[in-house]
Amino acid sequence: MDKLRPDAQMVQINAMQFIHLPSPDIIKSFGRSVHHYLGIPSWPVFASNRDPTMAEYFSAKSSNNTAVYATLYTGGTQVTPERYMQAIAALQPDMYVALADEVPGDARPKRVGQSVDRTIKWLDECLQHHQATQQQLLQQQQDEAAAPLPDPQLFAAVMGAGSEQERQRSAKAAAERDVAGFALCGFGMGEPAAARPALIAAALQHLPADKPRVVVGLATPEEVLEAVAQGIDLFDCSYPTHATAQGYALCFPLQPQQEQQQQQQQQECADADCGADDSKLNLWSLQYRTDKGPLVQGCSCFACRNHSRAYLHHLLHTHEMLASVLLELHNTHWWLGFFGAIQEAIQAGQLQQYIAWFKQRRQGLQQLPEGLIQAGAGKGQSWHKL
Amino acid sequence: MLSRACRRGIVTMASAELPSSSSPALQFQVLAQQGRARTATMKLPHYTAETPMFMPVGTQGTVKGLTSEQMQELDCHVILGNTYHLGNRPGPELVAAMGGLHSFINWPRGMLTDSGGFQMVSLLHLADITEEGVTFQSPVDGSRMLLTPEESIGIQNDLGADIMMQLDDVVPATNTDLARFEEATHRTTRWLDRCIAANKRPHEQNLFPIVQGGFDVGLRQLSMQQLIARNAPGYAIGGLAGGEPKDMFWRVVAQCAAGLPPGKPRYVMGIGYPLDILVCSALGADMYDSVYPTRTARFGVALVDTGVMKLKNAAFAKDMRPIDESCSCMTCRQYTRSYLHHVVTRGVSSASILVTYHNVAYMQGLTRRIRQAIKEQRLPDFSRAFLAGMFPAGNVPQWVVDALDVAGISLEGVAKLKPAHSFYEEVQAVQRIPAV
Repeated sequence: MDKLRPDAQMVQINAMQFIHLPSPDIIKSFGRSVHHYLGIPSWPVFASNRDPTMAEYFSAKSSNNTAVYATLYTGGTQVTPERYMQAIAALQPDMYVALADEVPGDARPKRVGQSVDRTIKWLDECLQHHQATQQQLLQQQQDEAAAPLPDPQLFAAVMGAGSEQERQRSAKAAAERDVAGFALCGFGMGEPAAARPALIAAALQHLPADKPRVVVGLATPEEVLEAVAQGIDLFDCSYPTHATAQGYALCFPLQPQQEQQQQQQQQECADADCGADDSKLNLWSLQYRTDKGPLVQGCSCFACRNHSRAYLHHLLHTHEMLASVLLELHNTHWWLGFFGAIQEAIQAGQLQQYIAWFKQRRQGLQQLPEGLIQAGAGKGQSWHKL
Repeated sequence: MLSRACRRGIVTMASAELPSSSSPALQFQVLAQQGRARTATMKLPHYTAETPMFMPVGTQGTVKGLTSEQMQELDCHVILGNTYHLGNRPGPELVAAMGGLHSFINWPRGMLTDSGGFQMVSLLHLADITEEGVTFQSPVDGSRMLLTPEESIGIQNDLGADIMMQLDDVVPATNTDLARFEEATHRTTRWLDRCIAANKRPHEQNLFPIVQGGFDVGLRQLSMQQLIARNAPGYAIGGLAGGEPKDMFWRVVAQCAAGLPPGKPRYVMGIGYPLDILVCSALGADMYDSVYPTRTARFGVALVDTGVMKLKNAAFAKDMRPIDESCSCMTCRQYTRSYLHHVVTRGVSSASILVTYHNVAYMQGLTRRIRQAIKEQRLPDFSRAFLAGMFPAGNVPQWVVDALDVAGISLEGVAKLKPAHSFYEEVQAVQRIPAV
């Protein structure tokens, strides 16, 4: 993890993994927060209500009015707000999302309404548990020596699936509560990528501008850019994780100046028909067998500084673990570099130009249908198929 | 006789009194001896290693999940590459084009490659040994292929490791046909000569012969005689770690360690259990390799002085201690048994990397402690303490008691059993030394 500094600033975990094994009791008996338990004491932790890198399937069992049905490693189990908040209290993350009733992208209107209602109800229950825990801690502190109180920041979950109306309703209700931020949930659940911007916009209409917003489950750089332009602040790293799993090394240019370099690379690629595109290299391709160069020329990550494409190619073909170690390092580094470029563009007042350049570059190389480009979908859909 | 430097724990004796050797690509210097054990430096083209030394196995050009940087952090001096696997993928020509294995995987320290013969015999169906070489079915397309001594060395020359192993005629340790062992002994010598003739880089790469002879004292003696006559830079003791009874295993190590030239390194192939490493080092061996520490890590098993810790066991779910409180490796400094238990039971692959990291740290720590004990002339005490920790009820196995007795180490007070061997009668060539 240290190799990803300074760009990496926070680690995301899935709160659901701490419901059963290891249970809140086990973490409590450890005596320190999840940061220490996971061996990342110097990293802020964001606890989500689900894992964006996992393709979740929906079982016949579903949630009900009192609990989410969560599929854990140990099997399925009902998770009530109380149980969820016990885990959060034990973990003491820096930020977390309240328990939410997630539904698939094609859920029926009645089910979507239900998920909005339940999530609001559970938000209130989570808030109650949160306040009770904080009071307890305060009392304990008065009794013992004072170390700074852990103060996990609660993010309300904004639901609504594919319905703009429900998105608005959910956002309004969440905004009325005293929360630290908002998590726009339910993306990457099988809904059409082209529909996402409108859904995000619908929710954002009713959210205060001075509190952070996180979206988990967007698929591509273009979607991220679209969401940034709309006003989203926090994103996850499922894109580089998926790329790693498939043996891809991300290489999309982060700045217009890098474009020429990339064009050269892509020319090689296009000739070889190696299953890649201008945003990622397919290291499985035989064309990299004897390539002594780094994954991406000029990249300062550990993998690129120390190893060659030929070596990564060899590691993939021999199914060696080190392949994913090195690729994950590179891909995460690259993805975080992308966010660095976005921040610079915003600070320079050039975000729209940056977005226009980025989209146009892809469009130029791929001749995508106009409608898809407008929606910022790009190759987004294909990730869910792979 | 002991200088002040000695009392400080550093044995300084004139180098001329301690065994050493100088070959074109290897300089071996014993720094200190105690009983039959010795600690030495071994200067190789890429690195100066210290012995006794454990070499992790990086089968396909990587030590399962660890980066080259981590392997250096862990104080590894030499790692192994498997010629059979690398010969298939990515293939010797490619590795040579990449500048050799060191350059291809970016490992700056010592490297050793085996001949490929053992893997073939153990991994492949229809592997057959003739005077020409090892015939086998290609794993790629099933066609008949032949690995000769010349080809094995050719591949190893392309890989470019500091130490190459001869192609030897390997007989499974569980075989009982003495005639077959005899055939293998002589053939191994003939193949050694062919390997030596085929070595295109004798000034950059060392070629180690492998002593054969099964469990026959006479054959082992004969094998050693023949191989020593070729004046190699170092020697391996082969044909062990194949499922043979420990009782037979230690005798071969004892005989060969005593019979091989003292100024040259002695490599017992396939040894990785901490107990075996301690015993073999006490008997005078210097180098070991095994997949055991890294493989067992992937099953969630951590190595500690008292034995093994099976992290998948439910007992560890709430255990907030590190694997080993006395271990200063990254895994033990940052993670609890509880955390490791939960991630290894889920089969998260990075979890196995954490245990692998610890296990390699453990092996390097063990050999460091053995080297230090020899330097400080306290190997017997170290051995007794180690065994007391591993066998608190005193049930040290007979073979360990016997082997250490021959090594000159008494387990009185630590082991219930007494030495009960007749090694010195069986192998008259080895001089008795007193057990302290």
